[in-house]
Amino acid sequence: MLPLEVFRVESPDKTGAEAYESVIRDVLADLELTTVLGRLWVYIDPVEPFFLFCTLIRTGLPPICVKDMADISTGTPSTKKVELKLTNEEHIPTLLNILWIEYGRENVSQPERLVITIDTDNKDEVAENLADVVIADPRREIESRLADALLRITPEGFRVRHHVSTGSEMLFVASEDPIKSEWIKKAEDMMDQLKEGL
Amino acid sequence: MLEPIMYEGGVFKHNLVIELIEDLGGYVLQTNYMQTEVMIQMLCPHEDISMLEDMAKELRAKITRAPLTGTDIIVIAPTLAYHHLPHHACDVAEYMRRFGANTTLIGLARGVGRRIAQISAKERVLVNEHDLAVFALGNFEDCLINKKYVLYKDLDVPCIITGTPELPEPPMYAKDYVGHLGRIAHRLKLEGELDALDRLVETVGKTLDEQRIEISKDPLTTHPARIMKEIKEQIPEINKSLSPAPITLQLMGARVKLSYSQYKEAIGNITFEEGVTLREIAKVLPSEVRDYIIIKILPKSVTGFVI
Repeated sequence: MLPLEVFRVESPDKTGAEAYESVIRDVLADLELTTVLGRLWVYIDPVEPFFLFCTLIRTGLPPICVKDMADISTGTPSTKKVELKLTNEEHIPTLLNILWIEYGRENVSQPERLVITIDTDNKDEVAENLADVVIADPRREIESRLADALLRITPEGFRVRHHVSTGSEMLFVASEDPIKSEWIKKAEDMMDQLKEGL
Repeated sequence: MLEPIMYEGGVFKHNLVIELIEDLGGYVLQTNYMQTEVMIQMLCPHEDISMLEDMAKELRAKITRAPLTGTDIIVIAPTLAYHHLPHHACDVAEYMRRFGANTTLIGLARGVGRRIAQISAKERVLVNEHDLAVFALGNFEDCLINKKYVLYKDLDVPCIITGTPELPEPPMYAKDYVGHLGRIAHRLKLEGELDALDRLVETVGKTLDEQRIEISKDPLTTHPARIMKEIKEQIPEINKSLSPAPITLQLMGARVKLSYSQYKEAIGNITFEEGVTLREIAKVLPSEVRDYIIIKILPKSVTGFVI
């Protein structure tokens, strides 16, 4: 699926739909979501009123674990520390925070820019556990950005909301009146058509 | 007749311009220093503009007619959420400042939606304190025509509405309407958007001119700029105000950024060289903006004279 290979904004009010398309483009660009979404279909009926937002999310990057950003070694058998040689500096602040919480500030030190050591008695167990600790999860971050985008895009007065979100799709219905089942049905139909590639 | 003029040039020798205006019987309304540049808003007698032009030429400065000078305009967004700010509501407010207006931007507490949109009594009083209201509304024609009028139908000041569609006539209760200025989530800098802003300024200027004509049928006892001059001379505390415009001029009065409870007496006692006090020719009232003072000048039909 290419980034935004389907991008439809529809409304009985044609001028309004065009203006809304520009708003959506701006919001997606601001939140760096243009490459994250594959297909997007928005329908707004200002008279009823309701707002439907259906999107397919492109599968993104896997979570980043400690083993992806550092080489873990236990050194000579007599030393009582685990040493992390960092290969990627991007997530060091998050990594340090996690290590401080898990092993205590006094046991974690950073003698050099790319070296972190953890003082511990059972270093083999620590080294093994540490390898799979998740430092950053781009997917979760995308989900929170997407939620932010939805709140920015949806007309502000539409505060009654219904959403269905899985890892790969997002269906959102909003209105200022109680949500009717036919609106949700319409959104589900739109989502089915999106999945079939229209 | 006094002509609203904006002077933009270097700080060097700009005091000559201020002296010239005062000698000609005009008024300097606001002076903004921006490092080595200065921007002066002033009212200059129409027949003496050529003298000002000559001086501006000599000082390599630019003078332009600023039709919105000396007016107090309020720009109203449905709320203060990022749906409306900073673009386009702030852009609209900022653009009108370039033409000399003093603009205030507010977001309503519950202005969003269709059925649920409303304006409170306090907000209404606040808006009525200004010369003109600009409502920055959204994209859909049905909302603009059938729903959003509740926000401005009970206002006394003329209301100009902005929105995306081009409407053949303004929505009911609105004075005028400007299209292509609906919900926009980027800075207004494209050609069509700047054109729309220009049309808005033109519409606002036209509406204000109509109001000026209406006022001239029963002229005010004195010009608001004269009250400003007297306040500056007789109440020195005004010069300590940190606000860029300690006295905001309006078509029929002024807002003075001093505490009402502390200064209402002093303001009322301001004496003009003709022998009258401000209390006799104007109402001194508490403003809805903080605890400021609002002055409403009485027309000739009430006081029986003009000074």
